[in-house]
Amino acid sequence: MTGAALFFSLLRWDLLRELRRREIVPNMALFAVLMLTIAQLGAGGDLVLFDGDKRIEIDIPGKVGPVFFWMAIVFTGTVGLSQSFAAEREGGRLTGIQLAPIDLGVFYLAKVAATWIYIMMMGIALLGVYMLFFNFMRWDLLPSLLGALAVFALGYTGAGIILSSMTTSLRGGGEIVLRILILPLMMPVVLLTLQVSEATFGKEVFGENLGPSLELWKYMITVLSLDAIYLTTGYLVFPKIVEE
Amino acid sequence: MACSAPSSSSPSPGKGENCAIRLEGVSKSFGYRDVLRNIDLEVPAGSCVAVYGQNGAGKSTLARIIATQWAPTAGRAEILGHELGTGNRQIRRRMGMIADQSFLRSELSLDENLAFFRSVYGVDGAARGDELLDRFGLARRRKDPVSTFSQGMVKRANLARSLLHDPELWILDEPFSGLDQEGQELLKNCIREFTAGGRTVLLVTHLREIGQELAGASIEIEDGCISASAGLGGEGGS
Repeated sequence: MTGAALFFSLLRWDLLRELRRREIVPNMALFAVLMLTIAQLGAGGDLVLFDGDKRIEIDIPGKVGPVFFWMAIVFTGTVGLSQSFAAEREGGRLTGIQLAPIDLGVFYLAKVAATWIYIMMMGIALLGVYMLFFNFMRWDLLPSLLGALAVFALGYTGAGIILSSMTTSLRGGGEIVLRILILPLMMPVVLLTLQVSEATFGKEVFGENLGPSLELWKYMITVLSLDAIYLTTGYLVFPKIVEE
Repeated sequence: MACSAPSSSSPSPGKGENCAIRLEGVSKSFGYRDVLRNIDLEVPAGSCVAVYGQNGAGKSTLARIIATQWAPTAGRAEILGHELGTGNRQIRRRMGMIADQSFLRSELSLDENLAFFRSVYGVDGAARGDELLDRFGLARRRKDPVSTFSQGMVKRANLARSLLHDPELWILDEPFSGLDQEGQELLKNCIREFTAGGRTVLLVTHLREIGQELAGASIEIEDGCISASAGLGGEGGS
């Protein structure tokens, strides 16, 4: 069986499992929506300031909304990552895969692809809720936003699957350790993602330390390069992690 | 301390070419704990060798090393003519294993599970799976999710899964636990047929009566060493 055929076969079985169990996507989506609800309540409405007779309106939800959106993606993503890999440890499934005559790197890539699909599904659901809660009706920006989400989620799952393969065997599922490890690792991508807010949400977020806004194409190229590094490292390292 | 199968001297190059399993000074440690120590073993192809020992003696660790699941800490091993480590993928293609876990996906039906393992082992067609399901009395439950199966049925399904790719070496770690009388007889017949076809079985069990009934040779593992062996002659006869 060729690597591509094996990849699609493994991906298909992973998706079928999620379709039957309906665990990962609903769990992530529920967590993300709850986070966004609390964030929206906290953000309140526009802030109105007066400079003499001059009235200044600051769109607080528009300025902090993107931060909450990406926070929800990052934090709920860890739920998906750990659940996606924990499912492989049930009943010795991972051992079954390990003892099969396959390239375990392909299994890693299939696992990344499946988890990427779950995170994208959660992200799209979250985006719908975001549009309602934060009155974000910029349909023209949706392709940019979905593109940014896609490249962000790819690197995130690439790094996350490697980390969850190491942490799910820990006591309690290792979810806390996963969060401790993945957040610093993803920090450069998170910062870049916030810098591209003007292109994706139509507004720069608060945070002067972030630096100037980033153009979308520059963001895409940079993050795709980081994705390639995460995925290549994962492909090479994953078999060694699983073998031991 | 060297722990060898007493009747079999240390393997020498050129000897034991028809060996299915050949271990030289294999040890395994987990942290500070030595689970296996300096094991030498030759299992001739076409034989059934029973591995006895008390709980925690190191039987399952030995089985897992031979099955390529774990790498030994020291020593070298050759399984089905391939070096353990570098030849793992070739070994896995020709080896089937039953362990304490089933490797099956409980939310999938039995048919889907077999299709999954057919895809990872590159087995064409469903004929082999159909034959095994008939053999293990599972044909009428083939469309049901594995999560609805009893423990004994899962064990039978697992046996079918392990034979799907027609392996040459069958590693069975406590395969009789959870099987009813009928299932046990079925498995015994399978083991007899398997070895009669010139293939090799490594049977890890604490049930000596069954081991003596099926295996032409045996080893006893005690505290990580082979403390006794029977039927493993110098020329590798069983």
